[in-house]
Amino acid sequence: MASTLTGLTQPRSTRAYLQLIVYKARAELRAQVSQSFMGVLWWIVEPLLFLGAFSIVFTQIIDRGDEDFVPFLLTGLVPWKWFASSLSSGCNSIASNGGLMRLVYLPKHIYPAVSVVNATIKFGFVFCLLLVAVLGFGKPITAAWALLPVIIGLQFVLQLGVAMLAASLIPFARDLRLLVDNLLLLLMFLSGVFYPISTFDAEYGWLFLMNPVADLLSCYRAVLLDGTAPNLLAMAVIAAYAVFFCTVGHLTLKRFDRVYPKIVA
Amino acid sequence: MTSSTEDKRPIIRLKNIGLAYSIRAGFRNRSEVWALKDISFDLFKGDSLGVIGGNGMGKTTLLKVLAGIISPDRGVIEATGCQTTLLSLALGFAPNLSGRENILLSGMMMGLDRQVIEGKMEGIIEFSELGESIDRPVSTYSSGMKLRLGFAVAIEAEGDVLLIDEVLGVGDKAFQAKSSKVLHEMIQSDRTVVIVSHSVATIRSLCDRVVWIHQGESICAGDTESILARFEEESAGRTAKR
Repeated sequence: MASTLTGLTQPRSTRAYLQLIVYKARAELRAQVSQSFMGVLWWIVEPLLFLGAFSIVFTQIIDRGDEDFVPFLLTGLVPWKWFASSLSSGCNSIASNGGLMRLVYLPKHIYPAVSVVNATIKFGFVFCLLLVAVLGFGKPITAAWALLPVIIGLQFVLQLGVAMLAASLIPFARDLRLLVDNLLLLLMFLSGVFYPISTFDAEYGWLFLMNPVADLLSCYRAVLLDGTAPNLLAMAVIAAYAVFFCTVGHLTLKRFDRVYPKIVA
Repeated sequence: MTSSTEDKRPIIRLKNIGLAYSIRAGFRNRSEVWALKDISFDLFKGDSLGVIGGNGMGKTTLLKVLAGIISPDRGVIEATGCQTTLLSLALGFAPNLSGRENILLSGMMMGLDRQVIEGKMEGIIEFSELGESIDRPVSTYSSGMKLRLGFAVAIEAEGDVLLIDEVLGVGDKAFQAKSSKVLHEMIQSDRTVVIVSHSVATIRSLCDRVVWIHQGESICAGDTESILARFEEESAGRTAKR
């Protein structure tokens, strides 16, 4: 690294970048909608199909008996889907944007951020449906619901960090992309999407506590199903992971900011 | 050009710039290709600098370095905090968005505030001569229409330094005349422009200084006529040898 190029591109305000991220994410969604026959309906139909499939498998085929199982499953699947879709599109966002990157300088953080915001807009719709479903299952609105924005915020920052780190590494070894999908699958099974963590012996509790996704799901479930405040320790663990991933992801992206256009085909 | 004392200092100075692409085949098998080996020149405010050289001599890579898109592997760039804008033939429009939405998006990517672009919107649409097509998706545009739109946005983006890559074949005859008139006006004014081309005629009509690039090295820089004369002599010599 012989020279800095910062003198060639004027620094812009964070506001301008935020404007760009949100506009780009919305524009991509508009483009997706305009391409499909059913348009915006897909945002609701697709998760319904997904949730429906899991509900049928677990209530009819693998008979869990418990009538509370469907809301339990839904509160796990909806945030999980948000996490997985943010990550699976975010991790590839730098490797797949070579064309744009070679035309205009943008801080590379923009690309994973757009993917995560894009997934978040869709999640917003589905999460509203989830709230309706939870009320439909007779769960009351309690004071703990006031903490939902905090949990959602924590999840947003966590997956932004993970997406930034993954996106910053994949251009160097495209093979990692294959790893991400498999890791996501593994993480889904390890995070208690389908089973309550309490089914395991207490001695394994710390393992789940160390898993930020399991912590997130238990936070959502505490608020939405039990109407109680989430475990503070779990929230602290999520926040610690979020800070870690955001820091490492940010530093890697910054280090290779003007190298990516060269190595991404 | 205006000649106050501050204009004497270059706004961008390149010293011995080198840039390598690494080619990877397999795990430990890497090789390097130096697209730029040794490039040095100064760019002054209000300059219209031509970069001439044959195909594959590193001109486009050089523009990407000047646009701040990729950093060189060796050498020094001194820049005084200017905004460079790359105007490329293949501007990255989103095909499923309308022309209007793409204007907003590219403007924001070039660093303009949303409100500023909205203010310039009608001017850009008028310049692009797209009329009612502006609200149709860009995927329905002909390549000429896309180029006109890209040119119109870049002209309005008002960077300090405009970097142009072989753009003068944009659109039909009438639009070509208009775009080259606008370029001429910009060159007359205080805009700093770098034009990359292998066409002697283009450079001669637009530039007052020229850098000659050959195999990743800047061979010489100076006023348009003397450099172009040497360049033409050299190319004529090479053709004669065949």
